[in-house]
Amino acid sequence: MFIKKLARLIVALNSNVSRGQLAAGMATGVLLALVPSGNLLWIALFFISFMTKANYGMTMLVMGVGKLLVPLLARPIDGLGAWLLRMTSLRGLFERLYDLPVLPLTRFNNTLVMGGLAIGALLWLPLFFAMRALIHAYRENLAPKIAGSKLVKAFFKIPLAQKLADAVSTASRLARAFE
Amino acid sequence: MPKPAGIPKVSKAPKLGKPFRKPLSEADFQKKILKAIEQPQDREFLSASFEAKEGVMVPKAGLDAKAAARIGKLGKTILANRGLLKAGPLLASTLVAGGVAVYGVFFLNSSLERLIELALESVFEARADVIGLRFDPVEMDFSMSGLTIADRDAPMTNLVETGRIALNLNPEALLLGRVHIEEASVSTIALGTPRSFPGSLPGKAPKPAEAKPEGPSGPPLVDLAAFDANALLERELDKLSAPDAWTDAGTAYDDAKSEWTARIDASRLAVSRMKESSRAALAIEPAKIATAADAAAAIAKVKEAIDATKAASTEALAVAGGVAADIETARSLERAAREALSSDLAYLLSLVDFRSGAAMGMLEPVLREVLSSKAETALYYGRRALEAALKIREIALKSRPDSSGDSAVLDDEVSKGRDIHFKSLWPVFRLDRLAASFRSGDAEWSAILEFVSTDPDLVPGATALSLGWKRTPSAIEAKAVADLRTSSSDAFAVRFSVGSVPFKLTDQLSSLGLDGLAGLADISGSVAGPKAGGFLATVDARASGLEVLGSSGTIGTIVSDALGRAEVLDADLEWSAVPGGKDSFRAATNVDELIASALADLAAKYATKARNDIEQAVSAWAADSLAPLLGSKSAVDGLLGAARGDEKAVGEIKTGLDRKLADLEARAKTLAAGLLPGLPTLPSLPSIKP
Repeated sequence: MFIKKLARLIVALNSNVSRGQLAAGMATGVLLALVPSGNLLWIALFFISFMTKANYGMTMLVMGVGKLLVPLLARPIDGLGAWLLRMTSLRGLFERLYDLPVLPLTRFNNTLVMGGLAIGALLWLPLFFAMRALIHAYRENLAPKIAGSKLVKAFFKIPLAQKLADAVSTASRLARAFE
Repeated sequence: MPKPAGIPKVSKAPKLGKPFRKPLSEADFQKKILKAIEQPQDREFLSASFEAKEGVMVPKAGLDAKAAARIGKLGKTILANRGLLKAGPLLASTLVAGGVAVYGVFFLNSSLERLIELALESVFEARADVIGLRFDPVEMDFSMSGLTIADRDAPMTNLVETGRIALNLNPEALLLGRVHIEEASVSTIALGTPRSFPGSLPGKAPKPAEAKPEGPSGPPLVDLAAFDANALLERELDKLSAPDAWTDAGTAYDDAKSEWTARIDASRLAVSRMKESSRAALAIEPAKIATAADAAAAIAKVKEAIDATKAASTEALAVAGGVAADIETARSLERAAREALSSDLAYLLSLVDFRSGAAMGMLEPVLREVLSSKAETALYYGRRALEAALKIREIALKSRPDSSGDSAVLDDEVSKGRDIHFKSLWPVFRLDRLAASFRSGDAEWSAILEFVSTDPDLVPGATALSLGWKRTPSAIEAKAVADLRTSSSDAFAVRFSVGSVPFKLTDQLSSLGLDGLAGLADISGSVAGPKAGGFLATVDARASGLEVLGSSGTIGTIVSDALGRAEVLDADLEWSAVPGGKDSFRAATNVDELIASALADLAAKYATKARNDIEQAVSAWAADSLAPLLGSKSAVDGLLGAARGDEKAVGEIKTGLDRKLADLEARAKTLAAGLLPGLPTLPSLPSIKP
């Protein structure tokens, strides 16, 4: 499953999939990983990402890995959320939101939700542009060199790498079939 | 669609896909086509496949089918890379919405049923069963055909069992994630119905039953016509304090005897040896000593005798002091025992004096038992309801984390985050009004419950329960208010009135010699309790149409006649319970007066004889049963005499030896001065204390 997702990602990186879509998928994946699931905010963010052309595979992969790592950051996220929610200048706003329809179902008043949303939102644009630039650099400069290098050719003789290559080629075929 | 002018016709032009259908200028081709292609080799391929002709980009002539197919695929990629939104997920969203609808139709009701059962189980700590739940999300109507909640403390009984329940929910509150029941109705309510299977939950053991508060147990009246003083003494023996007091005094004497007898014997022996050993020293005559050496030898001998007396002297003094202290303790206990005997005698005499409050003392527990038996069930349900209300409040308060940022709290909750609650007009749960009105047998019941909330400060009133019961001509009305708002110090207040309700007392009046008493009761009262616990109940009761259901014994007959003559019985009762303290019960009633006056003639005739009989019986009992308890007293007095004698003898010997030593030392100085004439007188030796 993971190999398949990775394979698709490699295919996407080496195909004509827009680098903006890949970068948006990655930034959204980080955001979805940081915001705890099981509330209306997460569901809404997920649906928004689902409706946009942000790369779904990248989103799911980054979110899956991120969800494993986020518990390690629970304390600072919780601290940031608590700080924001207790800010005197924002109290009036939060009190209004708290009594508005639907919004309480987002659990914005939870420290992890608020902290995760704040960090995810702050990181979204920098991650998007950084990823976009990296993918561009990879496609323009690195990918042709890697494809032709002896090291890579040797690497693909390893059984696991062959498996990966098969998966990439299957995914690639599928991608082409859908293009 | 008309073709733009100037575009050359290409025969059998391959289909290149949507992006290439419209003629594009060179700049547009760069911006819309090549920029949308990410792979350099594909960009180069497209650039090579098109050429500019008269300002627009057209496919080069001679493109083979393979190249055309590649351009077609790249066209699809270009389309995919354009724009922000996808059309496909719309279908997925429709599917999800359909799934939710299917879930709603088939599973929502059962899920809600379980959810409500879990919520009720957490509040009442016993099994809850919701039957036939239906929820209409469009109309916000919610109903269930029945509900049972088991009694945690009696698992084979339901705390409450209801018929159909219908609720009207506030949709705005639901959108806020809160539950606000504006109106609810229940078709029937039954309390304490039996269950076919236990309703206990794992880990929720029944609370141990509270011990019944010990009421003022007054003495039963004494039938003077058939009076037996010894029988009365025997009957009341458990309530008398003299036996224990006399036993304590006797034990103190016994202990003193056993502790000191052997020690005094040993001390006497030591004193006798001391007398023997000091006799030689005391016999020395200083005047007959002629030399300094003889004087020194005599002084040494006397000192030796003084040393020998030290241990015996200390022991004799300690024994005398110890025996005296123990005897003083025993004597004070003996004095207390004699006082206890006097008060017991006074108590026994009061039983034959009907002016002393004995009749009231007897009536109080009777009245209290009558009240308890009727009020117990109501108080039980009241306590359980209050407990449930406090539990709901506690659950609501638990969801509010400590805002102090305490690190211990943080450790526990950091993985799930902490909910910061803001000021809100909406509590998590709120019930404005629950009404039930139904007929059971020939009685009409009504119940209204108002303002139950997880945050009592956010509802306009205190939680109130109004109950009504009517069966012509009788009626009972009660209103209970549990005010859990922060500003209120009272936890609950109940007002009730009972009109023309028939009553029948049987067992409670047996101590009066009555088989029973029936009549009609009109009662009004109130019960109120602070949040700290306890309660204060006041009851104003009036009984009319009295009918005595048989009597026995002299008193029973007299009381029966008195009650038969009385038209009404009035009682003002006050019962207060303090948490951790003793209940107090006060009753003011004309029953006491009625019975006391009825008994007055009987008392006048027999009381003097009864008093004499009691005094004789107590005197005999004291001589036969209590006095022997002090058997060791004379022996201990003897021990004290012996100890005092030893103490005196030791003192005399010690004084004699001290005087002898002083005489010998004076003689030694005189002899020394004679031996060395011309020398100044020697300074006196420092005295050597034993």
